[in-house]
Amino acid sequence: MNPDEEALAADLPYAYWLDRLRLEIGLGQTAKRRLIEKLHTARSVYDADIDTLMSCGLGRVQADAICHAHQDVTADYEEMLSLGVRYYPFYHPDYPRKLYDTPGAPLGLYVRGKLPRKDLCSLAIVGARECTEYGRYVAAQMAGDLACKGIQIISGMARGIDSIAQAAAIKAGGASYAVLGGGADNCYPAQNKELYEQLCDSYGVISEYPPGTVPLGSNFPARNRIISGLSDAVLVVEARRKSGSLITVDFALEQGRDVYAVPGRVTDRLSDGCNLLLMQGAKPALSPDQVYDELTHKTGEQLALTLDSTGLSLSADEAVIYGMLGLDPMPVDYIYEQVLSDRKLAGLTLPRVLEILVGLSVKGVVVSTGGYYSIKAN
Amino acid sequence: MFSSVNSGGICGMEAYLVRVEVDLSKGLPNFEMVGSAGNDVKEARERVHIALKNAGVQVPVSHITVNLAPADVRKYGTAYDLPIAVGILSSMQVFDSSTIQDTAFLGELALNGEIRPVTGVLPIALTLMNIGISRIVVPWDNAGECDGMEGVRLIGMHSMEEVLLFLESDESERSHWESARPNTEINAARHESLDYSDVRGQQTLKRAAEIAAAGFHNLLFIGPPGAGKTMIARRIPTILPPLSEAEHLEVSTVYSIAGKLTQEIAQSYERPFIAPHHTLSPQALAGGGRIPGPGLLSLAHRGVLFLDEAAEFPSSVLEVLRQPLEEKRVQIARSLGTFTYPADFMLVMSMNGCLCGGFPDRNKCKCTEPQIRKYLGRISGPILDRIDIVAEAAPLRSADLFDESTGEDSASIRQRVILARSRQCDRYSGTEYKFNGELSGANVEKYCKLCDTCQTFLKTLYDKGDMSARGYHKIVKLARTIADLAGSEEITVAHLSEAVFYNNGRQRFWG
Repeated sequence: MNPDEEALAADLPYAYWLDRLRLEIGLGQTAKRRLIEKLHTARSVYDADIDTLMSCGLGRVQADAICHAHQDVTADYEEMLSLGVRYYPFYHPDYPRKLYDTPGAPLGLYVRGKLPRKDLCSLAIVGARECTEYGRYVAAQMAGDLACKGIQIISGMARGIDSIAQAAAIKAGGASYAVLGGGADNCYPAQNKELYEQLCDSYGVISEYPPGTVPLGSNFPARNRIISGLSDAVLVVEARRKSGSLITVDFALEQGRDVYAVPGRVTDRLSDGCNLLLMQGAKPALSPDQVYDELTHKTGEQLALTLDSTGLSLSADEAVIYGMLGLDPMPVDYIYEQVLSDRKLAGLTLPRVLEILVGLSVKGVVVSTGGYYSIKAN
Repeated sequence: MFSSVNSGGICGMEAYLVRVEVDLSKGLPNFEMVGSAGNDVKEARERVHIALKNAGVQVPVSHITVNLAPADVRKYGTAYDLPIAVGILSSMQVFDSSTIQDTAFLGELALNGEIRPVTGVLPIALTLMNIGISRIVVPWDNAGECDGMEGVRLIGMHSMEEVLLFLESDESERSHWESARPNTEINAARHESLDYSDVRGQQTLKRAAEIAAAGFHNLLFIGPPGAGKTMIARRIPTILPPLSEAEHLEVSTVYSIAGKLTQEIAQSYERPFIAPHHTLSPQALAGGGRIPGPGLLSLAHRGVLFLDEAAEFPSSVLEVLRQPLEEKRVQIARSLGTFTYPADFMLVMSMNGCLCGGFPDRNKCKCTEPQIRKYLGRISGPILDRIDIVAEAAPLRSADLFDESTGEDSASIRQRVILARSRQCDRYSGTEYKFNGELSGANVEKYCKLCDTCQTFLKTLYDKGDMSARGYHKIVKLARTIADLAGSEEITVAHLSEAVFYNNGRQRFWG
């Protein structure tokens, strides 16, 4: 370890102390950052007397409070490390450069696992929690394919698009990083436990909040600036007209990131947000290849996303029913009405249609959700 | 002078003989009633006295004692008015008391001498007939309760004057009274105006109703408002098979005890259809009151209990269903005793997928996942466990709305249901079961044998996670009914597949 690294390692407990320091009178991130910048290390902030602190632009009450906030910094820091969380203050050489350069960058990042690699391109994939089968499919396709090609997928691990994209990226053997609105030691939402653990083990879970912080709703908009800040571009898969994903887009634009949106049908309320973004000039995301090429500034043939239905061995009746289905879940009643309206299909009774659908579902080529059926995306 | 008159009482579902003993003797004028008589029974003193006076009978000033035997059983109700009055007349020797040894009396008296209807005439009549009473004088409004039953002779009376005439007449004249009957011109089919041909689209829901009706499976419709869930549920009575003689007697008995046995019900073999509003109380459902009468659960006995907007029912009401769904009867304990009423009904529920109703159409529904979970959670697991079919309704499309073609009518569906029911009757003859829907646990495997192909099919489903262990029995039971509807003794993969479909909804909404 060279002397610089040693000094940095010794300074981290103090940086952690300063990051968690909460004064009654208030001490914002900007003030903390200025203190470190003026005094060069967190340690010197800790050791400074009232006069030194006041010379850095603090009021007497604040300076006094800081001087009286001394505690066992090493023990606290060790406790954090024991949770598997590491702290990267903004002046740490590993602190992501992309994020550092953005306005309002966090004072430090808490990480379980690793930070995203600096030499690889990162893409944020965000979207609605309550998503449709279409969104589910596109998110998984985009994330899986792009991750496979070496793009790191950044997202918020929320239900719906976020976690679908991240899970697909990992499944495809790519890398993915989550930014949480609570402490990095706390899996939120709890239902994504499996994903959370995969991320912690192989990739990274990131937060600007110290371990133990409760994921308050008010933390989430701020969390979104880190998602876009860590990424080279943001891809919105599905979003309503008023959606948290659009907050991420606002940050992305402020930070100078490219914004991609997956076009949807104009009648889909869950695609309103995306279509609105497209109208305002976002780049349409049509296929993983196209997004990849644009991200890596290559040009090449752009292929639209296609459904692969070749190679299925279906009987004649099964093929007829399969042909009526799409990605959008369709009620069995609608399917049966199509059968009724076609004279050639007179032999297909409702029980027979149900038998075929359940059979296709057992074969794994269609998915059932209650009384609805859709084609299984891969 | 002492006399004794036959009458009857009800305790829960059981009827028993009551002897009304009357004694008129000299002494201070008084009217004493003993024999565990409740307040409503004791009020008979005033009614009897005045009704007799207004019928032209002057009761002599005397010490009157009435005893209701057996004296250790609590009596309640107003049906003892008439036997007490007859007892007084008998003690006054207005007529020859030996001529009413084989006759019983039931009825409430009005002050002007008219006879008002009472509850429980049917079960009392059946019990009394069995112990050798050949004739029962009842209020005119109750005279139709035993219509069509062998060996029951009810004589309907309008007023005290008529009873006097009856008592003073001789045997040959008395039998003449028996032929008089209330007007029997009634509409036999209560649900005649409803028919499944009115329903456009929603084929899967109609089919679900058909399967449920055939196997007496409990059924839940879930889907957006306006899809036709209620419409289809309300038409279920039109495809249910008619009541058997034994079932008809059970239903009539419950209605008689509840005081709701109209002639229409007494003569109809249609199954009851009870659809309470969601503001009802647990007592109204189970049976309430100090002396509880049959609640709606029992009025739905052998028929359908339909809970529309099931998620709006308070959980205290829904949970009342647990015991009856399991035991087919409802047991109510009160300070006066424990009362048991039959409650073997088919439960039909309908509900939306979320509070706004739009779920699962995300274009309409903006409820969050936790809101939806909470809404669906109003139907508790134990209740859900007792439901075999969860059918999801698709939103109605304009094409369906303006489609002029009519669907299959109720009569042809009913044909299939009746056939399926007769197959079940054959299969379960000599057992406690009547329908596939009643099977549970080990008996499912006993009566629903699966071939190897079917077992492999179900194993694949289970391994894929498309079926839970709990769902297994439901699917097999349903497949049995579907095979019965198709007239097949063997359960095939086709039958199982359809059964799987009608189990999907549970997985989706509560899985």
